[in-house]
Amino acid sequence: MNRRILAGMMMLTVIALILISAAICFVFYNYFSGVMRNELRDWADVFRRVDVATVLSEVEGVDPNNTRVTLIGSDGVVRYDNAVDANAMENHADREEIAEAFKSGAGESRRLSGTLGEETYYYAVRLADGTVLRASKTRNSVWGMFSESLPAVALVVLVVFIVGYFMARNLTRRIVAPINNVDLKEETVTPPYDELAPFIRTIEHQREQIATQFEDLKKRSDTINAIMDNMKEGIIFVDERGVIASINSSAGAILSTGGSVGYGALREAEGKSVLEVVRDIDLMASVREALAGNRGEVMKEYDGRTYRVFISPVTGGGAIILLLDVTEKAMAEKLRREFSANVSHELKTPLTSIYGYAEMLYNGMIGKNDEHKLLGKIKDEAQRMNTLVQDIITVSKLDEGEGGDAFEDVDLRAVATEAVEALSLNTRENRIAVSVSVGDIDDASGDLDSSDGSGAATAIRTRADRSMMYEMFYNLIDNAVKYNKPGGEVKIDIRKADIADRVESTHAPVMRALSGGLPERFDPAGVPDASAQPGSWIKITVADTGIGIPKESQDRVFERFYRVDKSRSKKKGGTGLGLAIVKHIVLLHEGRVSLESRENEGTTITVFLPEPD
Amino acid sequence: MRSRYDEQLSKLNEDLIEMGAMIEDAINKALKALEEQDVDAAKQVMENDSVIDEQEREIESQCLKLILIEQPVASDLRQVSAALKMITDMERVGDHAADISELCVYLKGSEPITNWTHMRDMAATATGMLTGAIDAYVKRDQTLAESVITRDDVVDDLFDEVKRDLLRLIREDASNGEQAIDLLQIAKYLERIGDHAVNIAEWVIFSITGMHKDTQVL
Repeated sequence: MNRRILAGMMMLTVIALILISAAICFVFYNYFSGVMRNELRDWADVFRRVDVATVLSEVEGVDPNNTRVTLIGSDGVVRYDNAVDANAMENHADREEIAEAFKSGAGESRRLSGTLGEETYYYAVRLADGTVLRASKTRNSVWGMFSESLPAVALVVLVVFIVGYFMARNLTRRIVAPINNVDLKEETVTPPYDELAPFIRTIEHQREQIATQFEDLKKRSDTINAIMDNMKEGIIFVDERGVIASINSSAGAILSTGGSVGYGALREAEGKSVLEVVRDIDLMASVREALAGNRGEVMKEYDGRTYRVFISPVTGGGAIILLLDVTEKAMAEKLRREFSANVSHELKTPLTSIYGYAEMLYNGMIGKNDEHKLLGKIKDEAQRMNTLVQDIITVSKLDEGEGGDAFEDVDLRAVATEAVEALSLNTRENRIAVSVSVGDIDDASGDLDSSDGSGAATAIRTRADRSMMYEMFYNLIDNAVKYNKPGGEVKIDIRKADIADRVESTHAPVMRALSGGLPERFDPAGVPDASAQPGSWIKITVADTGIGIPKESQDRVFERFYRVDKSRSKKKGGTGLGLAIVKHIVLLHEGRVSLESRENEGTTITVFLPEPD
Repeated sequence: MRSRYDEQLSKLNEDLIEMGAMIEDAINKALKALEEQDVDAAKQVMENDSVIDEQEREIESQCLKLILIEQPVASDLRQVSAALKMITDMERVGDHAADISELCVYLKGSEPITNWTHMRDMAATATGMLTGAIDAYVKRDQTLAESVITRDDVVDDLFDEVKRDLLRLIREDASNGEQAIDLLQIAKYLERIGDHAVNIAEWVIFSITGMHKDTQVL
């Protein structure tokens, strides 16, 4: 800006100076040449009437530097010259001013002396005797005058330049200062010059635009961050070098608990190579594949949970690693696989026997006496298969979540008694005493009724699916009788429980302190304050005095097809599904089941069912 | 020039971590194959050993080139020289994983004579030490490296337990002998893996402090 202004000023000054000095030169030249001509004419005209001799004596003392005087005879020969030797001069008759003077008495002319920028003015008059007197004066031409003034002009230009430089600087400063002082952060900016108003308006407009765009971007990034941080799945963005650009908290949690390195702090993981954080060559190989543009998928286990890891390339370089927790699915799949494997196996065993016996009969290899026995075995095996299929159907139905829609008011005591009666044949065979007792909260010892089960003394009612409740009692009592010792006892007790411990899970570590009194563990968070809500649960215990379940098996008896002693169970006609069915039914009724057992002393299975208000 | 040098150093770092991941993977797969009697998996571990050897050579030449051309000093020199030492131990671990896999192929089909309790503990401790040593390298964690070194006694004690178990089994029934010897070898390999983990941890400490086995080396 400074330089621009200075240049402008200089240009203007120089042009002005040149034009002015040219004009001045021209005007002055005209004026002076007019004055000089008149002077010369006046001086020469004086000699018009006199003769040569007088003239000669008169012009003798004239300074040749001031006025040059020449006398030319009528023949054109120079007679006298005060500046140059007259003899050396050529004939002047044809000179313009002299020719003119011969003809009309006076003549004048002007000649430029080519080199010096000088100009000579001549005036000639014819004297009385015919001689011509010529006077001439030499002076600078216009160009000479002008070039003579040039140094002065240059000096002025220099002065103007110096002065102009400082002035321009000052001026620039003064012009720019208000612009610099404009505060663009203000709500409305007042332009220091009107000329700047559109400029300022544009800036303001852009400022608003930037603010809105920034807000938009922030909102979008907030949304993305919120999604990333709240999603259950782990997400990791990897740049094209395999370095983690961004990682969400789920991914951090997954990798910090199960990953080999365990970067708890996410910020710490960002900027590190995937290999450094996850250290897993399978995953790294997939990441490299993804960086080369190919999608990949691997299954990984971190901290006992199964993850399906998708690695996808990102357009523009980099990759996304997505960690999906598929533990439940994988477990369910595994369970299903096991279940079908078990089912086929369990069904095959009786079928093999049946087939074997049938083949023997068909081939007539069996004597008449044994035939009946074999047919009996076939019948028994078929019976077993039937029971098994029945149980499998029940379990499958429960698996599918079927049933449970038909909740009704059920008298548990009646159902229990019914189940006992259905099993009375077995009971009698094994000489086992079965008793059903019901009681109230404050009535811990209350055997109101005993095994005859005829009357309906106290009914304990709940909302349940009756057929399922029957199934549950049937299975529990069946087990208690089946795995009892001859002459043993089965006690079924149904009562409202004043305190019910929420046993976390049916088959998980089993609660072993539920034989009668207060449960050892009481989870106040799990159950509402029991004393405030007495009888909010119904507690069913089925206790036997049988062979018991070994400790290492206690956790597993609720699993499908799990049998403590395979050979014994088969002999007794067990399918391995009884307790699995019980567990399912209880869960469907939002209850809990647990077991306590001592080998050779007996087993107590406790079921808690929620009591309707 | 320097930025290229930094790049080379970080590539060395990554390759070393990758080699760590490789041997971890190999030993875990070998032990899994052993437990599940999966001969195919065992054979794969044996095949993969050449990849580990290849990685060792690759890192080795990287280190030598770095020393020769860039002439690293101070902590860079420690890192490079520690890497040069560590890969030898890492490669040995890879070999042991292959050795265990080989025994796994022999053991296939024979009824196991022991319940594996101590062996399993040993495997868990040895691999834990290995992971710890590599973690210590990745995180430049001196305390972690030191904890790896102290854990070596656990593996040694477990090795004695396993040895005693196997001796008892041989005494009970001489026909157990063949398998017992194989198992003893596996135990020895695991014990060696523990030792190598200690070596790696010591070099990790060296790369951090310049001290190796309590002597100032650099």
